[in-house]
Amino acid sequence: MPRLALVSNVGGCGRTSLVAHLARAFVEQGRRVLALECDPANLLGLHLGLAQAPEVGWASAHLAGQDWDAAAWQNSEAIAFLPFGEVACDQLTVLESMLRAAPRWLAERLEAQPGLGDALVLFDTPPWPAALACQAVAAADFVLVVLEAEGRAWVQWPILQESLAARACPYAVLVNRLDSGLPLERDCLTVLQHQLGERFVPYPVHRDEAVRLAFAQCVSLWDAYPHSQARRDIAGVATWLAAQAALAGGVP
Amino acid sequence: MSAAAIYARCRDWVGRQLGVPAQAPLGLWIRRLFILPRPPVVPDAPPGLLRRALAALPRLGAGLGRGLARPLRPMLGWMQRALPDPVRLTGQLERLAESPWLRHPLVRGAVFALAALILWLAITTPFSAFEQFLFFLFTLSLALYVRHMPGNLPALFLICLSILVSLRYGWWRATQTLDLGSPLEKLLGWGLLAAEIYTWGILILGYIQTAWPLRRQPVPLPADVSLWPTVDIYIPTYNEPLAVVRPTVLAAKGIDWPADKLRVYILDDGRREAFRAFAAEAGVEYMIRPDNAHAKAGNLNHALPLTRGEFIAIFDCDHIPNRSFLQLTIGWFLQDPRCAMVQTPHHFFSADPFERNLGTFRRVPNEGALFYGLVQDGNDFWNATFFCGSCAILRRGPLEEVGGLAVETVTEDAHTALKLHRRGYTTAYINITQAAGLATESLSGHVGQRIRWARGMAQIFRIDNPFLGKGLSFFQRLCYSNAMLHFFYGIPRLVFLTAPLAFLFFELHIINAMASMIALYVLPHIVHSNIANARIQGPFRHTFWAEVYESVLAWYITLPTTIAFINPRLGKFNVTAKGGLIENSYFDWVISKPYLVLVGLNLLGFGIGLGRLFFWNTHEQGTVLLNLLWTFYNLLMLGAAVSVATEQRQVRVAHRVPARLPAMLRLKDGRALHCWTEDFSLHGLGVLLPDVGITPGDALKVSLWRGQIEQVFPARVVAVRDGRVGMRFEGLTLEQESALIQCTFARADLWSAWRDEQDADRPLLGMKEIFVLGLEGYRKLATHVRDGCRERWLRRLGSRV
Repeated sequence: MPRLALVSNVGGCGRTSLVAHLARAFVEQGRRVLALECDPANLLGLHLGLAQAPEVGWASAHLAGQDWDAAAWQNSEAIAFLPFGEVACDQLTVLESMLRAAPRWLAERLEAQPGLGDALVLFDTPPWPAALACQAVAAADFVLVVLEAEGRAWVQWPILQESLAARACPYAVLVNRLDSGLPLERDCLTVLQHQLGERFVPYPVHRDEAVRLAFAQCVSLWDAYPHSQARRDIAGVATWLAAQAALAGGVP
Repeated sequence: MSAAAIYARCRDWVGRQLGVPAQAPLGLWIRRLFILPRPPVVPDAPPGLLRRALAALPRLGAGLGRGLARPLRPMLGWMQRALPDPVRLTGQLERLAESPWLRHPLVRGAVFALAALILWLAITTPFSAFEQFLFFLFTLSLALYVRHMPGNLPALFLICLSILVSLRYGWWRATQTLDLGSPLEKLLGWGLLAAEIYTWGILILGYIQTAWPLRRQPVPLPADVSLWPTVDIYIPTYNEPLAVVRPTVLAAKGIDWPADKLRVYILDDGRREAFRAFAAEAGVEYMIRPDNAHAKAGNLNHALPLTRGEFIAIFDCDHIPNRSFLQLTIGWFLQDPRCAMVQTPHHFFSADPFERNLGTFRRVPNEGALFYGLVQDGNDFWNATFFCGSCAILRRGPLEEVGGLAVETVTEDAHTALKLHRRGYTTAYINITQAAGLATESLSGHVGQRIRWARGMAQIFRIDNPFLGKGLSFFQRLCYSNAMLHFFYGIPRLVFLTAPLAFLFFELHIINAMASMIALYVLPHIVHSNIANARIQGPFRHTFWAEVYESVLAWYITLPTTIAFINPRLGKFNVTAKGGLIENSYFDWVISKPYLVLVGLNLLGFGIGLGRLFFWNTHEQGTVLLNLLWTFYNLLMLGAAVSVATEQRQVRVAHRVPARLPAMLRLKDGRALHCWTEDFSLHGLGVLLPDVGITPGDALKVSLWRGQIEQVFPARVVAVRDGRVGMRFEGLTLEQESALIQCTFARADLWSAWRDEQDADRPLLGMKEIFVLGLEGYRKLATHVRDGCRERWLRRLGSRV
């Protein structure tokens, strides 16, 4: 059961949508995929085809003392996913303090979960260092840091990098929503590429209106926009990730 | 029916035939009686009788082939089973050839002596017609079997077989056929023999030159970049427009090499301000000199003492280098300290006049393909790679030692290499296309260039004959001699184009032999040389195409080579124009005049020959028939020559290079589309993309990649059709222009596959193609004669009115 966490040090750089599209890309490779949302925003379901955000998710089920199975979904693209669910503020505080006390709770919980087999688990996370993001990182075999090619990329970056290094978890950095026509973004990309070397994913995902259009129209980017550059970039990222030793295996 | 109705119907009918409306004034009716309106230009004329007949030819041929093959098939199958497997046999023979006891000098001597004895017997033994026929059957079967054996050894065997058969023909010609009658017949007969001796000589020299192509691979450079030498790149220019030179300079600037060890020089003999400004902007050096003495060679020599690089790479101003040029070529200099020059092929991404006017671009290897594909690799084996003036790199020391580039002749490149070889330096050829340029636009330009080469070679042959003088190995002498003698094909070719006329017009017998005997000796010579050449030259020159190329150029190079041979100092240097357009198809009357005369003579001869065949010379029908066949073949070759002289329309300013590269289009609405390019040029790009809502006139941004680096270019859509989008770049900055060159023309692997795209050589199909080309030439000629006459009529009429 290889596990991949998508993490970023700032909000709003397209993690959830990337999780959804990467899940599809891995399905295209013939892998079983489970997308697990660790973000109280509860948006992953919408990205994976639900008409409205689900009330029940793994977090709400857990807090209600129920089994996770009740919260699981599988969409028509054969992507299995566990949304976070609607959790009230005070309940969330309870959950978070529990997670602070047990940093490997999610990892252990997943180990104990039957039926996952060789499925690739993808974690969607809130901005680091939220407790849920730390849980996902602790549970992951590989961390994909998602950035945009702009000044914000460097916010808190040294601390995140230190903590990843301390965990000895392999990680790589992916640039999302790149507008290569803008000089600033190209310069940032060059600097990142230079600084990160091997840890730089060589398939930056281009900013592409097709991604937002597909979301707004409730259609799959994969099927409705076959010529989308973002779709192609994400497929490249999935192929690159599949070649990483930490995520190997699971291909039938 | 009333008389009026009959009149009206007749009038309408006549009107339709003449293309006059019924209400037209009388004047137009009368005019149209003499002059028909010019027909609208239709790219593909409706199938005329000739066209239909031509289209039926392949079917007829295939049918005939099948009909003939049916009874033969069981026999061939039996032979295939009875004969040993050619591949396994090759292995056994190769092991035998490498066996140690064959190395013993005594054994070797004995084998050579035996071979010489057999050769002597096979060449000189007189045969009757039937015996000669059997001999041919035997050598032919042997060749057809050996053809299927892989490797270089069987190719050598085919060469030996061809030489044997040709020498046998030569011996027979020299001993049995020269008992000629009148002095005139003697003169013509000996002339023909001399022309034939020339072709045998060139054939054998060519075999030696290409017997064992070296196919040298690049040597990797040391990992330590500080050991890499400094390089100057010279880009000489004289009158070419800046638009042609820009991409070359930008590509040269972008070659993968440490920036502090690479300097690019524009050597401008035109002394133009715009070039100086461009050089400053692009960050390259600009150099001029006070005079234009010795043209290109003088220009390069002027720069030599003023620059300091250890190596000097030279690119013609329209040859765009690939970024990998230096990394692939420098290695050999570091490996071999005596190496003075490394040459790479000249490749053209636009069609030359032959390819354009005959419609063979990217299908049939062009005139240069044989030289750069095979001959140079063959030369390399004998350490005789020639310098070709561009796409090459020289070591400064040796170049200065021979006094810079040679200025005594108009082909300074070959002469410089000769001087280097005389001093014991080595040269190398790397057959990996590392630069590409524009081919000459017009036939007159192409012919002008060949004239220069032919003149220059003839000059070197006179001034610095490779057979004389010191410093060359025997085989280097042979390679150089072939390169020079090769350009003397003009007179022999003209002799062959006119020889049968001596009999057809004047009943002169210039070969004293039975027609059947001539056929029995000539055919084996032709067949075997074609089999051997198809084997060694197959991918680089298709069978019979040498005849086409030489026939077209023969007339023009005859005079320059002869004059240069008599007095090497006569004549002037000319620069070939590049980058032009041909707006309307036209027939080059001036350049084809000699060929029209030859066509006329041969047609007349053919007509007289028919008369001789049926009425006047019925006692020697064999001879008449042989001469008729020969004339027919000549007419086909001349037809191809005429066809080349019909300049096809050429309107595209920038030539497109087909290439499949990943690209991205960013549209105004924010979408980013991934697609693949179909082709690119300096000004635009074509991509494959089904209908996604792009319309002509849209502004967008195109991304291309160089390695992992993405470059973005502003562009505008100019055409959308059939799943393709064509766009033109707009408002590129110099930096973007440079990036564009790096993403397109300068790609290291861009030209690696172009040879694979050509059709394979299939001799019999080639024969058919030449046949069709020849007839096509006459069709074009007829069209142009008709149009020309009509125009003259119109003009005369106009001047009277």
